[in-house]
Amino acid sequence: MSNTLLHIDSRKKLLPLEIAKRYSNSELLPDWLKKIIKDGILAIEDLPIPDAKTESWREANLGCFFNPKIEWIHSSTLKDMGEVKFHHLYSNNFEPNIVYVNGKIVRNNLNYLSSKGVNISTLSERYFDEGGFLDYLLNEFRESRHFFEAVSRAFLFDGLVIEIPPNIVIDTPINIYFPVPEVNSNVLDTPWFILILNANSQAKVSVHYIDNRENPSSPVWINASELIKVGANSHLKYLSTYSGYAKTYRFVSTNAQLDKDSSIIYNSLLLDGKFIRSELNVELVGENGYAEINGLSLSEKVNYSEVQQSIGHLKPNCTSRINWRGIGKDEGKTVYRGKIYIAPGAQKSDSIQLFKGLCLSDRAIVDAKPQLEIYADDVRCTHGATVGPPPQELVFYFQARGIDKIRARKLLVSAFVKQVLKEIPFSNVIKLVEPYLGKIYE
Amino acid sequence: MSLLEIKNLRVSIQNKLILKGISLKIDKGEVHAIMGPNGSGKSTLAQVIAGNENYQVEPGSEMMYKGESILDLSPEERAQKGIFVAFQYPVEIPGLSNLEFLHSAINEIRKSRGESPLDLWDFEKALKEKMEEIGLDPNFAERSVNEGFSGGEKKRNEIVQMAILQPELAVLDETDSGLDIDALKSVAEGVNRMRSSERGFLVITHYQRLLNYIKPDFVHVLYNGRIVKSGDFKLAVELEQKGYDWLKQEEATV
Repeated sequence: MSNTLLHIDSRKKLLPLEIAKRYSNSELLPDWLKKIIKDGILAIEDLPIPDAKTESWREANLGCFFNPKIEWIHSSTLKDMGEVKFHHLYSNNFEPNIVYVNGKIVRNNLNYLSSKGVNISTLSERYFDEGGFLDYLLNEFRESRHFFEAVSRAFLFDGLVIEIPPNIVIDTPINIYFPVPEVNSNVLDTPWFILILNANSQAKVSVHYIDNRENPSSPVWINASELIKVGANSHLKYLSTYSGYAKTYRFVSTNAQLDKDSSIIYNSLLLDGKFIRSELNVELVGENGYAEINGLSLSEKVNYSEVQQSIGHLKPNCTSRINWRGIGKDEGKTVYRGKIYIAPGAQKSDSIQLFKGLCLSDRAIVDAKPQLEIYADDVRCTHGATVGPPPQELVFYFQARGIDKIRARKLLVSAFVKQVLKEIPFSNVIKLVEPYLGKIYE
Repeated sequence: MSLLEIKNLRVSIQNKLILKGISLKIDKGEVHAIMGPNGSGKSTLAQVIAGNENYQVEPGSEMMYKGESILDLSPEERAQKGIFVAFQYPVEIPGLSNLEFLHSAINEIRKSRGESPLDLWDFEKALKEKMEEIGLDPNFAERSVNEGFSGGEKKRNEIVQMAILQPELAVLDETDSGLDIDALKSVAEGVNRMRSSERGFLVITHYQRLLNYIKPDFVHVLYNGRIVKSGDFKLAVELEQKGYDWLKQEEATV
């Protein structure tokens, strides 16, 4: 293991590692966090930047992250955040309740929840919490599996933490926004979001990673991490959306762990941006867990959108469902990798994984690979994937009713998308997607 | 001027000649039936009238609609001019409701005629009334087009579409196949309600059964890509009694 910068890949020098090293020695940080940051820095130095030879990264062209002309500045060093603006569409059913920018909660209109014991805070406010639950939680997910995870850990300076106490049911959705600061610098932002549902609780949370800069002249690299823990007999409905510009590059890693008799319905919409890779790992660590993933990826122009998902059935009698759809247009590339893992002894596991892809041009790529890895013998697992252009016989049916090919394709794309949106238990979710569908129709 | 006049229509698919020179004239107010055994080219004729580009229309073929050649028109242009084909195998469109689909269709047709679009709410009411009339649950208006519909429901849905779009020429391609007797009756009633001196029908069927309810003015027998016999309703009865074999023998001796 080489820990020296002497032999380091020169591209890694584009990262603001000095600031991470300074943090890792800061007196203000608890030891457990300093250790995580230090481990992250070491992992950055040690782990290769993935390339076409790295199996799980072979489709991704990471050139945009490592342009030799771009030296990244970490968001924590920015003095002026600029004004955060919201797209009008977010006011409809997704009005921001909490806005987190760069280590600060700049809006929180959910103070009434504190009377129920709901704790909404920054990570730094809980650095020294007794009981060390964060220490425990972060240790669970500490090991960096690849370079981008190492970046998140090396720059884990702060984050947003929401903890729902036991036996609390929150009926109204909590809408959280992680906007990109309105700045014109090459910013590396590393937002962390930690969500904990203690036993016998319920919540509905939507999280929006948006880039609404008015003048997006410089690129931003968002390296986001989400940790979700769903306690015994707790139920979470979760929606994450990602949107940006031609200069928004995103990597997001979500790790969710479900205790016994709990459930998660995880929904995600990858709507826009030059590059996005979303990794989701759900672990069913108790019996009778239920995990459902629904989502949509869109890629147009020369954009790249990739999801890597895995659901691990680690205990018996768990159920999982994946229903994912992807659309590629122009020279866009949409990649789907999904895996169901059934551990030895996880008998009576029940899993269905389905991917459907729509290719709207000859040069667009929609690439899907559903996988099963099964080490138990009494299970029910199915998977399937289909990819293709809008079926010609369907387009003809529209035409025979007076609707031309262009409008037929629009209606078919809309129908294709609605098929997955109807599974997403957040009302008016279509409003979030419509502006992007407009681009797909053009 | 005829509503539809087909002359010497020759059609291939993947270089195989299917229709070998069909001539047919349908005037307003007339109901024509085309019968014939499997593989005779009945559905090909319906698809070519609809404008399916997968079929190659050979040079020398003519198809005039109200005096104008329509062979160069796209399927949507033909529909906008008032041609409707009820499909033998209606497709399913998951995610798009019958209401949205037909509302789009009628407004595209209206737009092509310079008419203002119909309001969705008014249209919904009209659609549900038509559905009820034709024996389709009005709640199906909100359901995806044909998704999860039984065979009979799909066919009824085609008739609902026809009743909504009010074509001048309606081609029904084996609309009776797969229907039980009640469904057959309600489909036939739907068609009969639309019979008028301003509209022509071409009813393609395998059996006489449907024609007992939709009495055609003319019956043509299509065999091996040609119309081998034409007559009135009595021909349909004769075919039902004798089957198609006698025609095959007749053609062989010609």
